[in-house]
Amino acid sequence: MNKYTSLFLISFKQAWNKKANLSGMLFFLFILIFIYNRLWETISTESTEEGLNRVFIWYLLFAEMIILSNPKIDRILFDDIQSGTMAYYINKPISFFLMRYTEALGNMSVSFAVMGGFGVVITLLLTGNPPFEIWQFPIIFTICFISSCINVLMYTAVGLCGLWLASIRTLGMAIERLAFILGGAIFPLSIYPDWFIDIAKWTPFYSFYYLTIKLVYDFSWTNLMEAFLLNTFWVVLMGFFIVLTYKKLTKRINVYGG
Amino acid sequence: MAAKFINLCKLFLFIQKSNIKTAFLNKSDALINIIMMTINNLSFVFMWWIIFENKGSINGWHFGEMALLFAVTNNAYATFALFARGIQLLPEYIENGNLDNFLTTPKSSLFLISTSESTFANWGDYITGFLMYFLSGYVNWTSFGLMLLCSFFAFVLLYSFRLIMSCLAFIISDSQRLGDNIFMALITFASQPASIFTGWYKILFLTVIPAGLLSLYPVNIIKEFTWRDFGILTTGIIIFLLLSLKFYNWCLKHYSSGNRFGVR
Repeated sequence: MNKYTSLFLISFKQAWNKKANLSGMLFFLFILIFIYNRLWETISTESTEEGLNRVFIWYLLFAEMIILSNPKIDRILFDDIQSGTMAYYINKPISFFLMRYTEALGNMSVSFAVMGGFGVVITLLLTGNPPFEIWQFPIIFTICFISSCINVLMYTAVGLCGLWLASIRTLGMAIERLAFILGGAIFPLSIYPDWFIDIAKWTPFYSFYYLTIKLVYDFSWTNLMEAFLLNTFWVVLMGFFIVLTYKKLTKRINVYGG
Repeated sequence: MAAKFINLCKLFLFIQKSNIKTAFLNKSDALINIIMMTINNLSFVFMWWIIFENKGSINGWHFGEMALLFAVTNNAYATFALFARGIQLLPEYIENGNLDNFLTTPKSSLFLISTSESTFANWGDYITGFLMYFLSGYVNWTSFGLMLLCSFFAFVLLYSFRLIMSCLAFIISDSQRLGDNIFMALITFASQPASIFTGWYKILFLTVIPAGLLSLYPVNIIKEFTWRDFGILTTGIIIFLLLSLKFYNWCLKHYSSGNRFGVR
């Protein structure tokens, strides 16, 4: 078996066995869905727009599946860089970067699948029928999973910034907030003014989160293709950044040690 | 007793002084972190401002009330993160055996654990907290005093709740993220307009997850002080504080050493 597949499976099993962690995550997801359902219900009652909660809670569910499933890979990588742990792995016949990324994917896959199952049941109970057709569900689920993989890759890039920064906690938080605001991960971008959406379109958050999750209430092959192409563009850019940073990091460790 | 308290205060001031000194070893990094934290918070405020611009009010709550809520929660969280964040690491200390180092010192173990970690960037929360108070439209000397008092009460509640969550690690292994998530749930609950919770939801909002004591009552008290609201708030806070301390002591009694040697 390929060594990366083995790493993925080990990490998957480890994450699956951490039942307390999974329960905490599901509890948080439940609270989020419950609160925002109340919020949109209240707004719906006060305004003329009915069924806002049905559309926006399904939207929120997929958004949170992407955001919450991230296993904080940025902090793990940052600790590896700062503590010198990376130096122990660098001379092994395995790419340190791919090792950590694969482990993170294994961890993320468990969280994503568990939240997906639990979240769908809770959201169905709270809001009734989803705003998309049943046959569209596997497509939306898959494209959101790909977005989640990209999300992990983005946080990997954040972790690699430990090469220059003394702390990446605030940078990680800033990225998370930008995902919430520019990516519309809590409130869809459609509620924001046009000038704000125009700014958001120039950022990767727009395609990683909004364009992908928007398929929940506005599914079309054109939207799907747009999300796919823009995501590919940003992933290529991010890939360049990661490769350059990783090369620099490896060089520094080879010269100065861990 | 008084001498012991004064000694703890002196130690507290010394720890805070060294935290600030450590953070300012790299001045630009420290300041950038504070600015980024402030921008982080303001972006969240912006999100809610858009909602209130579009909808006007949410069940009687306007942006002014929301601003007061941000003022209290940001100040409370800043106090927690700057002066007592160590309690969040308790599960880690239990798992890797570091707790023994704290238990073997003559000072209060809870005090030492609480002050063992501080995040300097959270000074940015204070900036946001005060800014939001001045933008709320409820600015006068009385409300300012009440805002400070309510922020302190909210901090005590955050601390108590986090202590209970962290103590779960005495009972359940690998529960760091469980505690983190439930704590985040409390903060998320408290960061919403309290007016959306009515009927049974309100009871849940005040008891199981005591977010109402962080949001609803502080905002009501700052807007219009009543002894009834003040009484409910203080009673709730005291109950949670006593409950958390009792739980911590009970857990300590049942704790078996991690057998790790070390001096702190």
